[in-house]
Amino acid sequence: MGLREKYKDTPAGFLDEEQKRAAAKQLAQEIQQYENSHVYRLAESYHPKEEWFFGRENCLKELGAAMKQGPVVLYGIGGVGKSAIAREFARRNQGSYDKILCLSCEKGIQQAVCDDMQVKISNLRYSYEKYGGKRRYYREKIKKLEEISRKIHLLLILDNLNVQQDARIQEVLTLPCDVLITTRIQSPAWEECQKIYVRGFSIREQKSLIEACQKKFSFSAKTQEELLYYGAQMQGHPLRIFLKIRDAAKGKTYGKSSEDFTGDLFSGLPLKNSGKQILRELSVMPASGIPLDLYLRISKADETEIHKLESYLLVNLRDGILSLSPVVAEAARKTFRPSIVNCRKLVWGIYECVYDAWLKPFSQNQQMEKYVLAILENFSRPRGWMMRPLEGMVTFLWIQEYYWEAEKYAHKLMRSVEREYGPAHQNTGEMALRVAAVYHNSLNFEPSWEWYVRGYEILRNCVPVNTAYYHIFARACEKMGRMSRWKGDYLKALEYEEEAYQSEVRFEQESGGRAFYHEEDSAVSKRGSQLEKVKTLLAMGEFKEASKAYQEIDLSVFDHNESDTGSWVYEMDYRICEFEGVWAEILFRNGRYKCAEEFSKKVLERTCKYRGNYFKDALIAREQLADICQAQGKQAEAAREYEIVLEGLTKEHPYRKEWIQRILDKINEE
Amino acid sequence: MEKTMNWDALVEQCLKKEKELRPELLWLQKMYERFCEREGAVKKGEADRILYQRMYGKNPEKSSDLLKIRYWRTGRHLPANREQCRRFGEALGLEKEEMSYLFQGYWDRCDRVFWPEESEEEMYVRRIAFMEELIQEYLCKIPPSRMMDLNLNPREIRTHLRHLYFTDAVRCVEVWKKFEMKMIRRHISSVNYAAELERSLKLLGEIPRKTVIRHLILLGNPFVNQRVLNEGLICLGYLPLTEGHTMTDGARLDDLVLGFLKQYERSCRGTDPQECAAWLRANLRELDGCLLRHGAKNLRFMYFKALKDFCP
Repeated sequence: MGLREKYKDTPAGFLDEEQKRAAAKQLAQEIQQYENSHVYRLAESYHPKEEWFFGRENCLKELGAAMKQGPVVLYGIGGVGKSAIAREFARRNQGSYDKILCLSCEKGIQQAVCDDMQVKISNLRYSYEKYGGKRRYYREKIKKLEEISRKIHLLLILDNLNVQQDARIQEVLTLPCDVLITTRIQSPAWEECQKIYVRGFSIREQKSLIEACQKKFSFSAKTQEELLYYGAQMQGHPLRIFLKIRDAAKGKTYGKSSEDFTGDLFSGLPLKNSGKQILRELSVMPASGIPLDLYLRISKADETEIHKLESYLLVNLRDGILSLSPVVAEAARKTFRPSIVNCRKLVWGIYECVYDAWLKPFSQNQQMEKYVLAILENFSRPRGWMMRPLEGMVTFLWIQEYYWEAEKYAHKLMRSVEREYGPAHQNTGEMALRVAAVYHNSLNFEPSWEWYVRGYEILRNCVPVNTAYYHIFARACEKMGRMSRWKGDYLKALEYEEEAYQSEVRFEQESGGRAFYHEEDSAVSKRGSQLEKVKTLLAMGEFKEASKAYQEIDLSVFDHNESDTGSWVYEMDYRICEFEGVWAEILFRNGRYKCAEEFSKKVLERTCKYRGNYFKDALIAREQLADICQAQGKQAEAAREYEIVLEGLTKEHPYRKEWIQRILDKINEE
Repeated sequence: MEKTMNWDALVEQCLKKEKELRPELLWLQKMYERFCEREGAVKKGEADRILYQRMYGKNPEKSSDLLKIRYWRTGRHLPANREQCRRFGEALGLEKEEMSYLFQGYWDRCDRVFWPEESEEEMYVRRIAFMEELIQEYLCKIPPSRMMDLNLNPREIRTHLRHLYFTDAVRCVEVWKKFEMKMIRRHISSVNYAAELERSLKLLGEIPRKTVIRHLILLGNPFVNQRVLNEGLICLGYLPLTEGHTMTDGARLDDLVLGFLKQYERSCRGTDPQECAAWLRANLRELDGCLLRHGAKNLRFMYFKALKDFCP
C-alpha cells in the first residue's frame, strides 16, 4: 500500500483515490482473514450449571485459598464428591476466569488434550497427515495452550486423572494457569502440588443433610436415625449416603451394608431390562457422557426409563449430557457385562449416525469421534456378522484421519470376517476393499494396491450372495481402473471401467436400483463408473473424446428442488462436485476458459462448504481454478489462489512435498 | 492485457541511430573549439600540444603522445580512466557543470567514485542511504512463497539479497538453456558473483551506468517509470535517462529504456502490482531476446556476466 502511494505515478501505483480506498479495504479484509486463520484461541469455555450441591463449605474455602498458591489436587476414594467439588468451585468462581476448561482424563492427559472436542482451539485441529501421531499434535497443542494461558486467566480442571504415572503431568502443572486435578490416586507426581484430601461428610454435615432431606421426604425419626447410623458406618461417603436416602425416600428398608459396593448400587432397585440395557450401554460410552438426544436416537431407549435411572442417582443428566459416574460405570460393566452382542443395537445406532460422514463437514463429524472410538475400544474383538456397522465406523475413522486406529481395527475386522465367512466370500472381498481404502486414504499406496487386487480377485471368483454383489464388484473394478490409470496403463484402466459400468447396469437390473446399507444408489454409481472412464480419457490426452464421453452421462439424477432437504440433498449436492470438477477440466483442456472458470468456481464453493477450505478436495479445486485463471492471463487472481493453496498445504498437509513444490513452481512461473 | 510485446521496431530504431555520430562527441568537439579559440590555437595539433602540457605538466616527448588526445576528440577512443578524463576536462577549461557532463554524458559514468576509505563522506552517505531504502523496498515486496521455494529463512531476508536479486534477474533475460533451481542455488554461492553485486550495491568503485539502470529496474519493479529511474540516477550521480544520449560505443540505451518504459506505462497503468511485475519481467525477457536476435549485445541492459552459465 505504502509503495503504491509513494509511487503513484508509476503503472503499479494508485490510479486514483477510489482505487486506493478499494485496496485499503481489501488489505484490511486480508489482514482480518489472516488473523482469523492464524490466531489461536480457546473456542469454548466450560460453564457449569446450577446443580444441587450440599455442604463442603470448608473444603471449598480451603480450595479457594490453595488455588492462589499453585496447582491443587483433590484426592479421595471414588464417589466421595471430588468432581462435584471441582464443578462447584468452577461455578462459584467462573466470573473471575476468562475461560474454564474441564477435561475428562480417564485415559490420561495426552488423550484429553488431543481431543479436539474437549479442548477446542481455533485454527488448530488434529490431522494425521500433518502430525502423524498424537504425540506431535499434543506437543503443538500444549504449546498453544501455554501461549493462550499467558494472555488470559484460565482455569484448567483435570477430572479423574487416575493414572499413577503420566509423562505429561509436569508439562500441565507448569502451565501459566490455575490447575485443579481430581484423582483417586496418591502419586509422587503431586509432590509439588497442594493436596486436599476429600473425606466423607462430617457428622455435622450428615445431620444437616438428613435434616434437609427430612423436610423433603418426611422421614420418620427411626429412618433418620438409621440413615445417620449408616452414614457413620460409611464414614460419610456421599454417594452411598445419597443412594441410601434414595432408597429411604422410596420406602425401602435396608439391611446390613454390603462389602461389595457394586451390589449395593443396584440392589433393591426395580431395574427393568431396558434400564439395565441403558446402564450397560452408557458404561461403554466415554466418561464425559453423551448428549441425551443423540443417545435416544442411537439406542432407541425409552426416555422415561432414563429419568427413572436419574432418580435412582445412577445416571447423571446435566446440561443435556447423559453420563455415569466412574463408580457407577465400573459397577455397571461388572454387573451387566456389555458385549458387542448385547450392545449391537447401540453399535448399529452409531453406524446410522456416521455412515454418511463423507457428506458432512469435518467439524460436524468430530462430534461423533469419541463415541466411535469408545465402541471400537470396548469391543476390540469384532464379530464377522457385525461387519456392516463396524466397517462403517472404520470408514468414519479414516475420514476423520484416525488412520492408525482405522488400520488396526480394519485388520481385526478382516480376520473376523474371514473366520466367519471364509476366504472366498462376497463379504470377505468387500472387507478387503475397505482395508485397501484405509491404506489408500492414508497415502500408503503400495499396501492399498495389494488389498484392492485381493478384494477384486476374491469378488471375481466368489459366488454372489445377493444382488449387492454387482454393486460391490463394480466398486472393485473402479478401484482397479483407478490404479491402472495412475500407473499409466490406460487401456487396462478403460477395460476395468467398462467392467465396472456393466456390473452397475446388472445391479440396476437385478435389484431395481436401490442399494443396500446406505451405499449410493445404482443410478449415481453407474454415472460414477462413466466418470472414471472420462478421467482416463483425460489422462490419455484425448480431450475431445473425454468431452464426448462426459456429455453422454445423464446428470439429471443429481437434480433436486430448492425446497428439498435431507441428507439425500447434501449427497447429491456434494457428489455432483466431482462431476463438475472433471467437466471444468475438460473445458479447460479444450481451451474454453470462461466456462471452465465458472464451473471451477462452483466446485470450489461447494467443496469448501462441505469439507472446509483446507481439505484436500478443496485445495485441488482451488488449484484447478488458479490454473484456469493463469491460462487466461489473470495473473493476479491466479497468484492469489495459488497462495491460498500453498497456505492450506503448508498448514494442513505439510508432508505433501511434491504438491507444495508444484504450487511453488506455478507461483514463480511467468 | 497483452502479455508480451513485439520489440523489434524499437530495437531496430535504436540500432539505426547507433550509426550516427554521438551527440556527446559533438559536444566535446564544441568544447574543444572553444578551447582553441581561447588559446588562440589555429591548428589542432597545436591545441593538442597545449592540452597535453596542461594535463601532464610537461611537453610531449614524441608525436605519438598526442595521438590519444586526437583520438578522444575524434571519438575513436575515450580516456582510459577517470583520472585521465578529469585531467582532460580540466585542461579543456570546463566549468563545473561541464565537468559533470563530461563524466556523466560523454564518459557515461558516475560523477564521482567512492572507495571504502571514503565511506564517511557526506555525498557517499547520502547515496548509500538512497540505495539502502531501495533495497528495503525491494525486500518488503518479496512474498513468503518465494522464500520457501528457495529454502531461505524469511527472518534473514537481508542476508539473502543476492539470491533473491539473482533469481529475479535471471527471469528478465532470454534463457537459452532451461535452468533449474538447483543450478541457480549452486551458482549463487559463487564468490565472484557475490563480491561483484555487493560492491555495486555498496556503490564502491566504478559502476557502469547500465548496471545502475538494471539495479533501479530490478529493485524497483514494478514501481518504475522515467521519473523514478531519473531520480535514482541523479541521486547516484549519473545522467538521467535522456533521449538521444549514447553509451560510449554509441549505443542508444536511453532511447531503448525510455521506449520500453513508455510501453510499460501504456500497457499497465492502473493495473494490479503483481500483474505489472509479471508484465515487466516477461517483456524485459522478450526485449532481451529481441536484442540477442538483432546481435545488439551491448544494449542488453538486464544481462550481466554472472548469468553467462545460463544464457548465451
